[in-house]
Amino acid sequence: MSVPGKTGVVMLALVLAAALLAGVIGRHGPLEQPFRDRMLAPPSLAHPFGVDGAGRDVLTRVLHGTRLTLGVAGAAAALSLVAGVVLGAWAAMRGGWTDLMVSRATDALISFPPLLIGLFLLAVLGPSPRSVALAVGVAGVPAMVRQVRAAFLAERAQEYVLAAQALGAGRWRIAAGQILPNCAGIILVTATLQFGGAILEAAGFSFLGLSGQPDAPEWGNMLRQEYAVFRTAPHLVIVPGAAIAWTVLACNLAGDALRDWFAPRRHGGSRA
Amino acid sequence: MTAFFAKRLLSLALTLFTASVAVFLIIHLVPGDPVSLLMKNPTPEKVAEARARLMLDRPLPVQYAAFVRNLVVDRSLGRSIVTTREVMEDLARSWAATAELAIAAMLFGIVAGLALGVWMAARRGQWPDFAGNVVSLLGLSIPVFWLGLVGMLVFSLWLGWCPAGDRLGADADFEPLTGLLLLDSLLQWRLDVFADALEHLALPALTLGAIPAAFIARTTRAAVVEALDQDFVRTARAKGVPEAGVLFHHALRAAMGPVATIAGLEFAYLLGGAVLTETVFSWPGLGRYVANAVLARDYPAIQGALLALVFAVVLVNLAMDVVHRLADPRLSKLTT
Repeated sequence: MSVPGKTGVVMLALVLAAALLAGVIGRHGPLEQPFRDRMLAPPSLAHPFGVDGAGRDVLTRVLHGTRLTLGVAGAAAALSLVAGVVLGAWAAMRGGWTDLMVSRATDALISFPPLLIGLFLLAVLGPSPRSVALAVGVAGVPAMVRQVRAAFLAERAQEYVLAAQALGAGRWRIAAGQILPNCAGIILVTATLQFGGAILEAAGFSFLGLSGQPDAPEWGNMLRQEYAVFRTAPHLVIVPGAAIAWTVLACNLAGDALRDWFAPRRHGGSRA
Repeated sequence: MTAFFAKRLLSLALTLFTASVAVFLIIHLVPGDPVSLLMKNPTPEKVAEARARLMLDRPLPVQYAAFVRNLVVDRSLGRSIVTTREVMEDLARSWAATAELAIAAMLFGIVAGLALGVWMAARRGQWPDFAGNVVSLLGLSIPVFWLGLVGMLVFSLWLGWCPAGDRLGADADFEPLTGLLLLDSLLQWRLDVFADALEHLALPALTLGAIPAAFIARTTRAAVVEALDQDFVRTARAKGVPEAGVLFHHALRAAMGPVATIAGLEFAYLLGGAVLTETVFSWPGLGRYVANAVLARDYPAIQGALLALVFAVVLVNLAMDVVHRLADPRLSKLTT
């Protein structure tokens, strides 16, 4: 694996470690306010990322927020993945009208910004972390469908599929048992990149106040809560935003490296 | 070409129809009585008026027809619960702010993206390529609202180069015509206002344009690198075309296809990023309006603003398709 790819994997591993160890490294629970005597204190040795306006250690808040942020984005990416694979495979294997309808709908939806589709869903669902996950997940489905459908169509013409057909395997058995494993690489690449995108979008919705829980240490939400005081205490805004950028960058680096690994010729040119 | 446009217009109409049905259905999908979603402090008279206007006792298709008739004939989307003005008035007030911001951001994105991409391709494998890769990856990874906040912190609060938010200074005495302030101030030859508007526009536009710039730079680099490996470039070099000519005249032109595709998609996606950028910079546009409306559950405003944004996206897509078509004659030889 290339150097950027390794960097991405290491960066991602650090984030996952932070999520797992938040309770151990953190100085206090996510909602406690033990440092009220030094509100808005800038970064120092005792508080590497400073203290927020409610007397909470920002490092601790960010660590706790890792779970929430990754949880929402992970749920969204999983939703896009499952729905995208099912719909994409269905369209590619059925062909005909099914394929036409699915790919037309995909084309139409892809021309809209995912943020706009998400806003529409959030208007219906009402603000909550679950709504954000659902909105981001659904908005990511068309992009996954397009990738999966294209990959399935390419594989369907291969000789091993013909061989499986000759052995009498049914269409869906071939799809799940033969074609899907051969498309796993490109699906994994897309899912990794979409996970990064889901973090950005979910943080955006939280920043707009649409995840509903004002006190939750979710990173986008922290930015929203603190940006009223960011003139006097810029660390409160810089830290959670940097956490988002770090994690998304890790996903992008890892995703690019995975793509080079699984499909080296996909940059620019068409796949053989 | 005619067939292309006919087909394109048909799919446009279909998209607009589907989107308007979806927007119309919002008040029916949200749990609760639709009328109570459409007004604050419902009185019996107001409820009766809304029921009659929206024909809520009729079947859904009839209600949809009423919704469209109100929109097209009466140019009405109902009253905003928060501002208590007609939503149409609010939209008329805010569309120009978004248009100005989006166009400025896209211009920056295209110019910066092309320049960075060509530079990276020309110095493939050397430090500009590496640095450009890092910068464009950061552009894709940094949340746009955070970029805006940090930009505001550095350029407005610390360096004091530009104002932090809104479109004009508070003491500006100016009566806009179209709402596109740069255009209006030039038409009325108010250079002081022009400079003021430009100062306010610069930071939001650079922020919002960073994402398309990053995408366009990466696409340009890949496409130019591929073109530079082609035979026609070798021929051009063998004929003695100078390297700059090879790069810009031969390679870049051959690379414009994928770049134009990405640029078109990014222009539409920009309108999503505008929701966040406008919120950060208190920019009085459609994006901030729709975000506030969703937050306040102001359903008439949500419906109106979403429709306006859908309309904008569809128009941008159409315009980009046409430009793409005119710019690349190979496309019109293909069957539509």
